[in-house]
This record gives sequence, C-alpha cells and structure tokens, in this order.
Amino acid sequence: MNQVIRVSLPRRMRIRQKISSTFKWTFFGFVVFLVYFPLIIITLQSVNDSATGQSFMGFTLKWYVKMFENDQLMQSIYITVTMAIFATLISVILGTFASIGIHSLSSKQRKRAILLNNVPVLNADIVTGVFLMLMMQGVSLLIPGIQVFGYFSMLFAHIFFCTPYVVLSILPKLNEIDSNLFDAALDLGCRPQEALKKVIIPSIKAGIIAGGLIAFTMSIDDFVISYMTSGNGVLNFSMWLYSIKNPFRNNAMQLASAYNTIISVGTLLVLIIYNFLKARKKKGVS
Amino acid sequence: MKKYVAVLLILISGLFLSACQRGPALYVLNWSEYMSDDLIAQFEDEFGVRVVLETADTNEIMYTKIKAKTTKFDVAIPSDYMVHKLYQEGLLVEFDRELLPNYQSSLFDDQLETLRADYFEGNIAVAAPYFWGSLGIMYNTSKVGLQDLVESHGWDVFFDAELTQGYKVGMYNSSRDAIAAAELYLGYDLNTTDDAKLTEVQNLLKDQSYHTWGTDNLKTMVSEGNLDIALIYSGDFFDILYATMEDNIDITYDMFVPDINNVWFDAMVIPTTSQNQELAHQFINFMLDPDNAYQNATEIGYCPALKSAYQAMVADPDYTDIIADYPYYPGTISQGYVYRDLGPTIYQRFEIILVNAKG
Repeated sequence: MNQVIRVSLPRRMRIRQKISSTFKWTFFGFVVFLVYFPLIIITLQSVNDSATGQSFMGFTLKWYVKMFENDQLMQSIYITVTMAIFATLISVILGTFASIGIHSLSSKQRKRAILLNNVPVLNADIVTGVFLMLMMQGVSLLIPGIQVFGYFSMLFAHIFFCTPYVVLSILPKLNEIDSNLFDAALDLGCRPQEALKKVIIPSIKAGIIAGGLIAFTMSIDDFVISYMTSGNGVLNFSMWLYSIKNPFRNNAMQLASAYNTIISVGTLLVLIIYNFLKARKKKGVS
Repeated sequence: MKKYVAVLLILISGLFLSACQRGPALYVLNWSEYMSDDLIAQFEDEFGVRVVLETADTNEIMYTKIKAKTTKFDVAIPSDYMVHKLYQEGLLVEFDRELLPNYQSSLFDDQLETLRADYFEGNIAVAAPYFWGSLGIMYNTSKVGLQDLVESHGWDVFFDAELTQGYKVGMYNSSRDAIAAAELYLGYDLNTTDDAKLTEVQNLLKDQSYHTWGTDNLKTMVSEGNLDIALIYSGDFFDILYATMEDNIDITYDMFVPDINNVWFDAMVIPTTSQNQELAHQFINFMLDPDNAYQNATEIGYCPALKSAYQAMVADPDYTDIIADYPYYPGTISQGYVYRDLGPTIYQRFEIILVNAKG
C-alpha cells in the first residue's frame, strides 16, 4: 500500500525556486545570445546586397559566387583546409602512439611526460609562434639557400601545437581500458602489432576521434602561430583576413562573411548528422 | 588497414604536389588589394615567372616582415616615412637605372617631383612612387552649413571647439596623424622635433574633447551620419566612396583638402633581402610603364604618381566625374609636408602626447 505523500513546499521556498528558475533561464538566454548573435550578424552580412554593409539592402547570394572569383581568398582557403586535414592526420597518428607510449611508462615517468606534454598546451600562442620561428630561422642559417618558411614550416607548427591535444584526449581512454587487455590479446595468439591494431586502437577509438576533432578545429582557425611560422606568400584564411587593410576594397568583408557562414553551417550540419547517426545506432542496438 | 595506408599515401603525395610550384618567383610585399591582378598575370606571362604576393596592413608590419627575412622580398611598397627608415637602416638597394628605362623624373607628377626633391637625400635613387594622396577633412553634407564651415576654417575645425559646437568631431587614433593635424593648425613643419613646439602640440591636443578617437571606423561613422567631421586619409575616403557608389545610395559626405597639408606617397623599393634584383627591377619598370600604371589606377582608384596616368584618368569616363567632384588630385596642395622617419625617441614622445590627449 504505497501512499503518495504530497509535500507542499513552504511558500518562501517556492518563491525562491521560482526566482532561481527565472534566473536560470535569463542566464541561459543571455549566454545563447552572446554566442549566437555574432554568427547571426555574419550570416546576415553574407547575404546582404550592399558593398558598405551599413544597412540591409536586400537578399543576395552573389558574395558566395564572388568568393570563388577572388584568387587570393581561394588560395588561402585551400591552404587552410588542406593544412587542417594534414595537421589532423599526422598529429592523430603521432599523438596515438605517443599516448600509448606515455601510458605504458612507470607512474613517475608518466607524470613527467604528461607535464612535458602540457607545456605547449598551456603556453601562450605567441610564445610558441616566436620560438618556432626562431628555431626555423636557425635552420635557415644552418643550411643557406634553403627556403624554410612556407607551407611546410606552417604545417610543422600546426602538428606541433595539435599533437599535445590529441595526447590529452586519448590518455583518459587508455586509463579506462583494462591494463591486462594487451597481455590477454598476446595470450590469445596476437602478435604485438596485431594486438595494438585490433585491440588497443579500437578500444580508444572515441578518444582518437575526439582528439582529431580538437586538432582540426585548432588548426583551421589558428592565426598567431601560423603568422609567425609562415612566409613566401603562404597565407591561411585568418592571415588573409588580418592583412586586409580596408574592408571595403573588393568586398573583403562580405566575402569573409560568406566563408564564415559556410564554415558555421558546415559545422552545424556535421554535428546534426553525427548526432542523428548516433541516435539511430543506439536505437538499433536496444 | 591497408586501405587507410593507401589513402594516407595519396593524401601525402597530394600535399607534396600542391606545395611544389616550379619556376622562379618574385616576392612582392604590398597592401591588400593594392595592385591589379590582371597586371600581375600579364607580368607573369611576359617574364615567365611567378609573382608571390604577401600583404600587410601597416607600415610597421611591412618593416618587421622585411627585417624578419622569413620571406626574402624582392619588391615592397611601403609609405614615405617607412621608406626613409628602411633607407637609413641600409635595407634598400639603390636602383640600377639602366635596368629601369621607364624611371625618369619627367614621368611623375610635377608637384610630386618637387616634394621628392625636398625629401630626404637619396630617396630618388631607392624609391619609385606608386600612388599618392593627402590628409583631408571628411564631413557630413546633410548638415546645413557644415560645408562652408569646414571649407572656410580648414584645420581649425579640430581645434576650435566654439566653431564646431553641436557637431560630433572624430580624430584619428594614431599619434603621428593626430599630431600632424595639430601641427598643421599651428602652422608647424610636420617633421619638427623641436621640444617647445611639441609641448605646445601636446597642450593643444589635451584641451580638446573629441566625440570619437578612431581609425577605419571614422569614415564609416561619417558615411552613416553618426559623426559630422573626421580626419581621414584621401585613400580611405575613396574606398568608402566607391563602396557607397556601388550600393547606389545617396552620398551624404564629402572631403575637404586644405592647402597646407600632409602629402603621402607609397613607393616601390627593392629591399636588400632580394635574391633576384634584376627581376625586381624589371617588375618596377613594368609598373612604371604609363599604360600599365593607368590600368592599375583604374582598378585601384587612387591617384597615380605618373603624370600621364593621371591625365588618362581624367579622360576616363568612369573617373571624369569623380575627379571633378571630389578632391582626387593631391597636386593642388600649396604647401605639402611628407612624413619623414623621426627616430624612436620622438615616436615615444608622440605616443605620450596621444595618451595624454585621450586621457
């Protein structure tokens, strides 16, 4: 005989709850506003049929077409995207092996290795950028005649700052899996490479994917380190945007807005599809 | 797994292919959107080279880029005072006149030539002018009587609060330019380093209370009607003017260029970092060709340094009205001062003056 006992809260408490709920929603609304308002403005500007962008003068998609006619912009987008892909791939590979290695160290050594890994993460971008530049300057002094700065120096720098994030996102996954898993695989007849490939890597897949995503987003919007380590006309998008002296020249502002909108919408679509697939998969399992 | 390795290999080979571009290259350091793309393509075809363009948004960044040597620039286009600074530090190559058949003093505007003759010694041997212009006063034409006020009082509008009562005045948030306006008002040389004069400038700026201290936003504010008077560079004025014309909306602003004024010019120079000086000379010679300079100017819209290019602009149906209606040609200035490099101590002083004025 279960009897539901209704407890009515004292009035004062109810008021308090009401206030806290109002506060919660206002705060939530404020945060959403702060995060999404700039995106809305950029999206509006990208479809605004105006060269000055001072008022909304009608809907147009011409900036999305013009974007592809601006060689400098297209080149910088090409560099940004390819650089993000390569930096992600290479740093994921390096980071996976590095984190497996770090994980198998003794506890004291592991702590030291993690500390070393965290230094580039915590370091200010400008410091990382300047010291990478100085290092590359040194290389160019050692080997005269070589053109150090350009696509590869920038790629190197991107791998440099992406890898620690990959390590950071994989290590917790490695801690989660059973420490005897590797030995068990060997006992069941796996060669060490196979055990790594078939057992360890699949069980830390989520961490690898998360690390890759972080690396990709870090690389695609980096400015400071790229600015320091690039040269010889290799510009990524943020450097192109920064070098615009005048937003009214050749509609630089509108073209940049169009690119940003594409990136935002693309990210949103990827997230929606990812969550959709995930939800469907879960349903299929249960 | 093999599949992944194959995909990876393809991607990496793609990377190498994309990064390797063959042929000799000419590295040019320029302002963004400051040179006709068609002309660059034409030069590439004619000389069988690749032009690699890098851009900067301030003279100081140009200076660091040249000094950092991450890119070994063959040609750069800094402004007057930065040319002076680079020259003083021995970072510029003296032109080989035999490689520059187009580079003759009769080629350039007479007024500009006079200014260059008075400019730092040796500038003619290292720098070939590109575009030029002046400072100006941008004002809101929808305010009745403001045009008369600006035109009859010139620089006074920034320093006589009684004149501009009820108007919103904007000043350039850059020490050199704000101080230049004060010096023009007081009638001093813009390159003065005289302590007493600078103190006077400091006190004058300190006594003003401007509605806005801004840079690029000043012109936008005047064009939107949120500001009535602002200090502006002629180049910036034409940028916003062309954008407004493209929008086909009413132009509610104009620029007045006082007779005693700062004159700026951007010039092509060859930094000592150049690895291919002959090609650099050929590029400058190409840009100094009257037809090319005219084509360049029609695309960029600033006043070309070449006499013949300017005359062609006047006759160009796209520009005739603009040149007649707006102060396009800076040669009407009777007393022009070109900025020189004044050295770090004076610049520090300038910064202090600006901070005091804003505080």
